[in-house]
Amino acid sequence: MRMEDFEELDHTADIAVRIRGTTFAELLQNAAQGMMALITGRMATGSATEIRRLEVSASGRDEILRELLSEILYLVATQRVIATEFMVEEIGEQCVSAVFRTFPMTEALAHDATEIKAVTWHGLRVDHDESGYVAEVVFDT
Amino acid sequence: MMEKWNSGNIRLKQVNETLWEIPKTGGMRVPGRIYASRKMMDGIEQDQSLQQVANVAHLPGIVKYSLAMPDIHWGYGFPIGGVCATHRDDGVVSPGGVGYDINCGVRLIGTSLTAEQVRPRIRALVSNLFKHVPTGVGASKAIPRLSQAELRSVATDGARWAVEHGFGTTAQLDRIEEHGCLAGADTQAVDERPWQRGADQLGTLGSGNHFLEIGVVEEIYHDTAARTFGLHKGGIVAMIHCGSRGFGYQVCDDYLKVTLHATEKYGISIPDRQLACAPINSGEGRAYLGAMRCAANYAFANRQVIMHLAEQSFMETFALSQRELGFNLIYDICHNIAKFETHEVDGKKIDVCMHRKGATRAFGPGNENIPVEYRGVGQPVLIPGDMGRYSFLCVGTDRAMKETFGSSCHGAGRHMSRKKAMAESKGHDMIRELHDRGVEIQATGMRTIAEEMPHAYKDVADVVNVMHDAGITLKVAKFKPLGVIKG
Repeated sequence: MRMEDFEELDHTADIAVRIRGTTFAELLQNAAQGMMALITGRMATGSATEIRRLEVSASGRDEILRELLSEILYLVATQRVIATEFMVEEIGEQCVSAVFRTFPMTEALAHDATEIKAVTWHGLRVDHDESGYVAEVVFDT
Repeated sequence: MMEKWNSGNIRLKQVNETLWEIPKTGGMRVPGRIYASRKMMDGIEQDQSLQQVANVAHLPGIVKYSLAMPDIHWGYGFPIGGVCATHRDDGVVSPGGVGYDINCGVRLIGTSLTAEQVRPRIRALVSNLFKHVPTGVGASKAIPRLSQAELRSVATDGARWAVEHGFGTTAQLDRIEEHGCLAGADTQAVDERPWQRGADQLGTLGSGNHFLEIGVVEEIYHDTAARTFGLHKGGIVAMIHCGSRGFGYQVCDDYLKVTLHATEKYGISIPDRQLACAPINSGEGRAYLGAMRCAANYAFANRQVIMHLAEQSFMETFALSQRELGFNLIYDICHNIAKFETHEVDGKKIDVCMHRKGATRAFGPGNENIPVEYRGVGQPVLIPGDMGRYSFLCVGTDRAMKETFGSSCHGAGRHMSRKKAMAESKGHDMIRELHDRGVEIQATGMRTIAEEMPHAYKDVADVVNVMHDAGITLKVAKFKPLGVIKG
């Protein structure tokens, strides 16, 4: 993922990001990977052994993006894991399935982690032009 | 008085020295009103918060004004510092008007200790607090993991659950807004996920701007009120700021989806999806309120447990008995909440659903909803500042009841993004700099300390002074921090 594929924007209280991808699948992968980097404060590494699969459905691209990120957040919060190596398996107009690997969020990783409470609907958008897809998301922190 | 258009094309009219109005235009059902000095307004205009005040004015059933307190800043949907009353009979309730951290709030505790006793032992005290009160991302296990049945009792009974399980005393319940329990909590309205997310987080601070702070009373502005609250110059207080943790975040997230559908179903037009709402008397509205109250009660219990853990830490550090320490709850308030209240509007009493998103209830003297012993001076309003400067205790006034539905500000409010704060903190040893200012800090991670650096926040004194000058709340005391623990 290139730096410009997940770019933090200035927001007074929360975290706003712009995400890019040449395809919508790539945008989703970049969004998931970028959000995990925001949480851990770095590109977290670990022995990612467990392979997980997620399926989300929603009524538009922006909602699919929000749903996917929210599902990952829930997993991180309840299973105490770091998720990585996201790969979109299948993608449709109203659904997406992705596979990824996880490894435990160690004490050391938790120490410098940022808590993302939720993926908000505020200013949520996914646009498409000849260069690909671009999305904006505000996280509540 | 001045009138202007700001860069976001919002028309702004100055009503008096501390109050501004956004006149009703387009789909706005009422005007917007913002409490701020002229100097503060220059900063407020830099982000999208004024547009958000105007957006909130679109909500069906909104009464009188879409209000914002001087700590207003850009939120999602509602601005932080936003206050909105909607008619109970035909208005709406909006999860975005409460926020993800349902019943985030502040608890102020007095002690019998003095600064002379605490200063030499402050490092040990901070370290002990840090040991006993879990902080940081996903902090857990302050107390043994609760069974699902116990968690449901927490959600229905709030702080009373904590007291019944040995965390504090029954008398303390009277010093908590709504006695530490919102009636009407409906556990059936809470999906499986919030229970999972909140299962082992009771008694934990969390991260971000949440904290536990030890402060010294540096200045008294209102002798009678200070005496009423048992405060004197040089005395030591503790302040706890946190909310409903993952339980509340998940309730809000779940119900934003429900209310987005309801917004469409009931044909409600809103300018921002984060303002999704449902008629209060619809199935969706009632379900959200029932679930939201469960989360609010979780937060009341959370602060009650943390107070107990903090008391243990103080007793251990100073080798004092409970009686000698005199850990005395002064008050506990919510600043992210929706509640039914009765207010007088244009000479008539009406029932409203009060949304306070980053705003504090500030009831005036004589109000029957505040502790009997405080009715002579008004409800305590707790306004924490940043971790390097100071925090304030104020009291609500009759004017607040007339102008702001008994509401005031809730804190300093950020004026610098976390990203910018991180960049500006590079090359600074924030722990050393705070130590040099007389503040000992212990946090789970350095990143939080950098993001929460004092200068990332407005000067809370400016915020408090606007409300004082407007006569909405009166200053009682100022606290200087001596020690802080954070996530």
